[in-house]
Formats: sequence, structure tokens, C-alpha cells
Amino acid sequence: MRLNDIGMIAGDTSRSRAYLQALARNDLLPNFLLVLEHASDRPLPGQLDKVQAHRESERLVETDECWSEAHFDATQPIKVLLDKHGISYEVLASKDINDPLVIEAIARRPESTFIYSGFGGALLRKTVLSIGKNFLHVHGGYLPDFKGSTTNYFSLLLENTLGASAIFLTEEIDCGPVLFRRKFPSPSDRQAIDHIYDAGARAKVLVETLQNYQRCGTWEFKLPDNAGGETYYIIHPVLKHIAILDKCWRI
Amino acid sequence: MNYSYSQTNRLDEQHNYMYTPFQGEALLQSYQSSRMAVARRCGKARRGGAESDYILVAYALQALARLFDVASAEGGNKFRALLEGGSQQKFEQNKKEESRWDDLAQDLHRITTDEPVATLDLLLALIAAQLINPQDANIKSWLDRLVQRFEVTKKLYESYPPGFRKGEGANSSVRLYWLFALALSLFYVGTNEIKYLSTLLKVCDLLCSLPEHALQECIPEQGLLAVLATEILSVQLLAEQKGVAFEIE
Repeated sequence: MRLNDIGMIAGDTSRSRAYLQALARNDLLPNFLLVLEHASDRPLPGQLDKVQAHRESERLVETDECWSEAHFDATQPIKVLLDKHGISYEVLASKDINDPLVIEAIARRPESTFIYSGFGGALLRKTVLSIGKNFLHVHGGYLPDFKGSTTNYFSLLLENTLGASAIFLTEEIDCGPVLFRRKFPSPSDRQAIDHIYDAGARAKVLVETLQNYQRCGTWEFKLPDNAGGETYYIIHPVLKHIAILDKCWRI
Repeated sequence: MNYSYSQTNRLDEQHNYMYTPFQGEALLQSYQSSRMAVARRCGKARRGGAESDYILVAYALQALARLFDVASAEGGNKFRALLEGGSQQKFEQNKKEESRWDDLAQDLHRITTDEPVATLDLLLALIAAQLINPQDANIKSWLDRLVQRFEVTKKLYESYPPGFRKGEGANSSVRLYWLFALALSLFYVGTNEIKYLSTLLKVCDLLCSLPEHALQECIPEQGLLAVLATEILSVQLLAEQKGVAFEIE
């Protein structure tokens, strides 16, 4: 089944791979994809090379139902899946969601809502946010408590949990209305958080958000007023290492 | 293993810290060795810096030691032990200085985002307010604005026009980065809010990446040691709490 009113904007990152494989598994594939591509010798933020992707996937050992969408093939390029499922897509030679070329391409499409899964570090600016589409983003953190970047490492340090929250993007970062959110227990191996567990948690919440949409026929909000909380910035590697090496959380 | 985050001059080449690789306990060891090497060097070197900053450091050291005493049973003693590398000066608190901190702390209520903000004035007010009245709610809101600006640009500018967004003027003042680190040190040890330790680590990466003469000219004796000792000990206390091996050399 396709969600006719939903499109997706994606860079070929581990997160986009997790999203699309989860959507395919749950019969929730979008109608259309805009694929952002950028010729680069080095992986862009959120991308792994094939060897790294294999190595990261091997770290996945969780069998709990909440991690069902973390079991994805991080080595499979998104175009392979799109071709396999016959999803139409347009490739744009840009990595920037705010590029006028990208904005025009989104505006041309009939879908009213786009799942956003671009490259790490990009923020949607006013121009793209005001073209009359919803941008559905799954934030890697439990809102409103954990706003900003790499919040799952901070929540691991503070309360031994990860989180993911589906929101419609607004100009204020991570402050859009929350459609669905949930907390996840710490995975036993915290080394694969960046590309596997964070992506898996977000994919799980994306699936549950779209299932709610399908069931209700409209977007319902768990937390319309997503105010307050703390804003975090990219965690320093020393603290990231302490979060990963933490030996006390199981006690 | 080298600690790469402060190996390159971070005023010239910023690090965005995105998707940093996991390097195991070796990363923590290399961080500590790198910081201790800078701390040892700065303990011995003769220092420059503004006269008023010497007094600020003396008061801040006392406040930090008291906060570490509260934070953990051995915290204060460990902090004092880390400072022993430098020639710790004794300052008598006096009424004159205390009234000066009062005046500076009051500036925090006078500074507004509707008008241009001189970063030096803001930082001095933030530190003074934490020495006088750490409960002042303005401390967190102003520190958050500075943290946001630094995290986005990895720079601190001489001033910020109304609205407190894009900075203006020079962005290479070592004194400003050091004062920012001191303000973060006081706030983190007082509140234990980890996001401020994360930013403190980045500011210290920047400071430790600079040529020694630049530090000596702009930071008073024990000034750099105060922030490095706070940072290292804070990391150690957190690591201990999480069962992660991290013994200070």
C-alpha cells in the first residue's frame, strides 16, 4: 500500500535507509521521493561507507519489540529499495534542502506532507517552510525535554533512555507540535547508536505516527504545545565516550 | 593516541564535532594527558592578563573549591590538589572587592537584547553574578544565549547587535574565550547540567589549541589552570559515577 498524500525528501543516509525499509515492512511507503545527492569524496553527515555499515549492523543484538525497526540493512542504498518497490523518485544534485532547486521540486508535487530525512546538520529555513507543505521530521530525542542535537547521548547520561519524537517542522528548532513520541531502553551495546539505534528508534516512531494517521484519517497531536525543555548542542566526544562506556546503567 | 580535538588551532579551523568516532578508553586517556600537559606548562609560565582578572580568578577559585566540596566528598580536595601545580596565591576577601562584584552582577539586569551587548561586559557580569548570587535566573538565560552563539559559530565576537544573533567585531580575543570557560565552569559545578560541561570541553579544546604565548599574554596566572582543573575533575567525577575508568595522572 502507498500513502498517496505523503512524499519523502531523503539523502541516502543510514537514517533514510532505516526509514524506507521500516515503511516497506509496515506497508506504509510514500507516494514519491525527492533524493538529495551530492558528489563528494567523503561521506556526508549521516552516511557510512559499506565497510562501516556492515560493521555497525553487526552490533545489533536487541530482540525487544521496541527495536524492531533497528533491524535494517544499513548497506542497502535507498534507490535499490525504491526500484524494488516501484516508488517513483526524482534525483536532485543538491544536498541542501534550502536550495531553490529543491524548494521548486517540492512545491511542484501534489503531496501535502513530506517526511524529511536529509543530511545531518541541515535546518529548514523560512522559504521552504512557507510553501504550504507539512514537513514531518522525527527528532532523535524525547520532546519537549530534549531539544537540539545528539540529545540521545545526553538522555543516556541523565536517565539511561533514548527517545524519538515525530513533529511537524516549524522555524523554531524542535518546537513544532508533537504527533507521537516514545522512550526506548538503552541498547546493551551503545557503540552503534549513531547509525543504528538512533535510526531504528526514529523509524519506529515514524511507523507508529503513520499508522495513527492511517487509522484516524487525519494528523492528531499528542503534544500540540511543544514548549519548554532544554536545548542541547552536539555532545563533546569525551562525554559521548562516557555515555557509551557507562558500566553502571544496568545496575 | 593523540587527542586530535585541540591539535589544530581551533580559532583558524573549527571542529564541528559531528559523528565523532568511538575510540574507546584510549580517547579519555589521550584527552587527560593532553590537558594535563597544558596544565603543567601553564602552571609554570609567567602570565599576563588584566589586573582585575587576577582578583577574579582568586575569588572564582574559592567559589569553585566550595562547589566541589558540595559536589562530592573528595571533590574539593581533588580540585585543590590539581591546583597545586601552580603557585596558589592567597587572597583575603574584602568589602571593597565584594561591592565591585555586586556592581558587576547588577549589570546582568541592565544588559538587554534590545541593545548592543559588549561580550566582555556580559561575561564579567555573568561571573560576578555567580560569585554573588548563583540563584539569579538571569545567569542561565544569558549563559544560554552565549552557549547558543558559540555552539553555532564556534566563535565569540566582541559584541552582539540587538537581537543577539550574528556577532560583530573581532572573534579572536583569548580573554573572552577564557572568561567564557570560567563562567561555564562556575555554572556546571554549581548545577551539574551536563550540556554546560559539553560546551566547556569545546571552549577548552579551543584554548588548548592556541599557541602558548597567546595564552600567557591574555590569561592571568592560575586562570587557565582554574578552568582546566574544573573541566578535568568534572569529567573524572562523571566518569566515576558511570563506572568508567578515568584516573587523573
